[in-house]
Amino acid sequence: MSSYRSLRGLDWTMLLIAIAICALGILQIYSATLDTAWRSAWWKQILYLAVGLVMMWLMTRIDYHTLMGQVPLLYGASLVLLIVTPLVGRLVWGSKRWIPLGLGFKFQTSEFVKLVIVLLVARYVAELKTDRLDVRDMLKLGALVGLPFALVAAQPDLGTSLTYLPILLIGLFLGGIRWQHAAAVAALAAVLMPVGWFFLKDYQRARLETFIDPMRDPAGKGYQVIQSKIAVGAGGIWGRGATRGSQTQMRFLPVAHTDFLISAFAEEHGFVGILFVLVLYFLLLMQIVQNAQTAPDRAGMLICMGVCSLLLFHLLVNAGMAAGRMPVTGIPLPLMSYGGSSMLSVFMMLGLVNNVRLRRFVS
Amino acid sequence: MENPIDQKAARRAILVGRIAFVWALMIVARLIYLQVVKHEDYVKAAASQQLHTLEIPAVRGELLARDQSPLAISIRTESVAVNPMRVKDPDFFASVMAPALGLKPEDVAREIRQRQDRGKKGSGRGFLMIKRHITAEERDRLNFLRRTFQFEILDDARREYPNGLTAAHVVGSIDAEGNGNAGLEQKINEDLRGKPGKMMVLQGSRQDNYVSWVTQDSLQGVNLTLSIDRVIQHDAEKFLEEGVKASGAEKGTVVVMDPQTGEILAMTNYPTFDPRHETPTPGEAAARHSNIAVQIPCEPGSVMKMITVTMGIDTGRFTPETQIFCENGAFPRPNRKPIHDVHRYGTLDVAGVLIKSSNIGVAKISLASGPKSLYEYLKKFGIGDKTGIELPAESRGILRKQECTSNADTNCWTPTSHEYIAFGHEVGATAVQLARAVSVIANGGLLVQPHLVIGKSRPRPDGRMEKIPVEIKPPQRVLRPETCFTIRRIMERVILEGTGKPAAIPGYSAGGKTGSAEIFENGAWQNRHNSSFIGFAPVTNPRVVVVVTMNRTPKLGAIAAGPAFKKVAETALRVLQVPKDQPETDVTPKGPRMLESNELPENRRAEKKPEPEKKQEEVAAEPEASPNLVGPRVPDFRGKTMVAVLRESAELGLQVETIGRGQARQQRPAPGTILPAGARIQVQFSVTQ
Repeated sequence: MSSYRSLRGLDWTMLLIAIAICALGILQIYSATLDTAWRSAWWKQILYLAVGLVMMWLMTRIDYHTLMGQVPLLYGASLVLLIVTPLVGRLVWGSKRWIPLGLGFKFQTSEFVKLVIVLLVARYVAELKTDRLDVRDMLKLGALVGLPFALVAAQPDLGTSLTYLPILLIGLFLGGIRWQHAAAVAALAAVLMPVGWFFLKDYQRARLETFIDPMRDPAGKGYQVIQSKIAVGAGGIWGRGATRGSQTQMRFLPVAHTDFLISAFAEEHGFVGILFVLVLYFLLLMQIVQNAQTAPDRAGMLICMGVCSLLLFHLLVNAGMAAGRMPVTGIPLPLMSYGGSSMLSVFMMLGLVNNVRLRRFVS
Repeated sequence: MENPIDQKAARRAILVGRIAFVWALMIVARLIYLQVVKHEDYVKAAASQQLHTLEIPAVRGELLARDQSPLAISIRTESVAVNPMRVKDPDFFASVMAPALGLKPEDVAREIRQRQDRGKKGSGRGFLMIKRHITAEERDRLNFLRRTFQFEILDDARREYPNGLTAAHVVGSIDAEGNGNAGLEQKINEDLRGKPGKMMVLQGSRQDNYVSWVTQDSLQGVNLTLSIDRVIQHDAEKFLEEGVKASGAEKGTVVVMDPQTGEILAMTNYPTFDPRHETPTPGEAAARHSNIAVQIPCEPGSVMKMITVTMGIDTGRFTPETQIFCENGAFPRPNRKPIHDVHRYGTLDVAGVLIKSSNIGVAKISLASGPKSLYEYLKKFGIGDKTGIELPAESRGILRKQECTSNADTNCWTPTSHEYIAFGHEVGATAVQLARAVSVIANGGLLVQPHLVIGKSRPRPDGRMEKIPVEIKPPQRVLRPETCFTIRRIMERVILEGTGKPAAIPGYSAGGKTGSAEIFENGAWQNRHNSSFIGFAPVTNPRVVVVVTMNRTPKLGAIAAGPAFKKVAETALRVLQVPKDQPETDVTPKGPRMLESNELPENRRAEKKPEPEKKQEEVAAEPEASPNLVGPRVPDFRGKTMVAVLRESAELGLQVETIGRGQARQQRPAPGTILPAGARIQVQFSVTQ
């Protein structure tokens, strides 16, 4: 019974796909940061990938049941860190999201809170005794996720906080939310949206406005969306070639190595390239879903589906943003966009999936 | 996974997957739309913000004197401009920007406010030139301020006239936009200006250039080498001014021309102007646009007798010895006032008519030849026709048609016109036209085209110079050489024994003719004259033709214009290194004696022979007076810039040979020594290639 914990037991298909996506991401980061202040980003990303793989392996060492047992502790620690972050963090691009670690590295708390939320939702839903979710459970779970959501949104980092919602929703949905309740939640969200408008910061409102009408302020707030669309469109079917995308290389495309990396990729590698990447992501997600199906118990299935929904949300929002189909939110493309915290948290989530997989044969 | 809870969850998971798939399909559809359907549009959109067309400025061509010293050159500079509408705080802007540019903050702030006020009324321009032609230091200071303020640094060019006022009327000047508004600068503006080229630049979002390529080469301005000789020009200007002042004239003009080729060696007018002044005084502005030598014809008066006498001899009706009765000073005309002479002459031969300048004599020659013949000869000499010189607003002079189209035609000769045109009334000519007319006699019967440009070249993009041929009308034969030789001999005697004595040039034989036409204005004779002297030297094989006109002087003919002619011709002959053909004596005889004498040339020469030796003794006794030791003292050029050196030397009329560029380091001869006539000063500059 020792084999299930060995390296051979890992989901190598999933892993190879993930590394392939990372490799494409690193190439694109290299291309997008040529001759800029970020020109060292590509090898830092390789470093993050290596650390990520180690973290992933570490995540498989502790049985996920044990991890779920520590959820109250992890949850409490997360809240403390989220409260501390704005106090010690430095203001970067108008918000305080990072805890400085020294040597130029910094730690984005909200990224790691995702893991805790995945475990939290999985534990809560798995402990339900029926396939029905009553209102009390919904409110309780909603409140548990809502607290870190509010803390992150207040940083302000609405984009990251929004990524907690798909985990909650998939938990509720798979946990057996009734259709009436689901309709009620949807209706409530629809009602709350205009109210939420008043809670948005000016720049967030502007992003929504320019999403609806980018030409409203083409040189200012609509600039990113317009430039991204031009980059994607100019790429054509076959792309302009690596390091040859004029929008990317001449810095018309903003943050081409992080949030708009997919646009830069689309410009340089065209529709064919982007389709290839999307297929890779599809295969990755299918692999995660397969792990969910083979999970030994409900909790394992929910962990995998939580991870899957989170990655899916990231992918579709980021790609939608590049194509001008979603408002600009600072949601990175998982595995591809430059960023250590994002990279580590994604690989730790893949570690959770492997954790479930390694324990699929109930002994 | 067999319990019902999980089955339900699995069903729901599949539903989630389907929703996600639809979402993904929407994104793919969108990508197809952007990347396949609208691809071309977005490529254009990308190009339109990345590709910019820049102008490659063309440098205005240079104007060089005969010795290749610069008369007008362009220096690339930069100028600072601002959009006043975008200045938020004019006081703050001015308090920082003005000191950096050496301007007064109050002035700059006021200017900006004025523009802003006008802008609010809707009539302002979003452009204010703060300072033109900034220095390198100012440019450095501005680089610091670029992050604080919005302003533009524009490519500009400044026109330098290193020789200052020298040949101002020939060179001309340019306006603030860089277009010529006088002289050659105006006439040849298109060639000088060149044509700006185009360059495509791939420019990033931060205005940094990535790739650029030239789509259209700029056509650089043409460099012109002029026939102007700097030394002759300088002296002509100096002597003209002296002459105008001495004769009490208001204006004056001098033209020096090579009779063989028509090359203008010098051309100047008084008053003149400084082409370096971008905003001239009213007087200067008027002077700038009145190049008397080509634009303003005046009655030539007795000068015209040269043509009348030439006609008489060339047609064969007269010989120099033919006797003409000069009616003792009054030639009665039917139903008109008689034609008068200044002095009462009895019978003169044809040569004497020209030498003594008898109106009656030439009127009789003209009467004998008829108006048709006179008109024909005037035309042969180019009277009434533009010379085609490369200067703006050239006048064709005044010469009415000889034949009338009808009885009502007033713009033609009356039946008596040829009597008066014979001595230069009812006709007008510019100094350049007169120079061309004298050249016909001087060069043996060829009508040449007076011109200034003797070399054209254009710097090509590869750095080589492309020679452009200069098109000059070939000389036309209008007279038999024999006639010209005869007339030259007679014109020599005008100076030796006639009215032209003040114009005599020591050491050289010369021929000429005086002229003075009294000015008739507002219905009255003004007792003011346009007095001129036209002539050539030496008599055999003339090398220069000089025309001097003094306008509105109370003095007559050679008294007014002769001294200037003599001095200018002297310089020209020296510069052209024409060997002296006469003993170097003061041939200007003491006035009264010579005016009365009727000696033959042979007699005069016999009488004068002992004089040269005497003069030479004087020369030996006074070494300071030797032509080799008389001269300007050499100024100290050391430490000065090339422009300053050229300017100073031009003002002093010195020839400078420059080596290298930068600051002057050494010079030869040393400062303070006397420069031998015709010698050059060698100036070594700090940077040598």
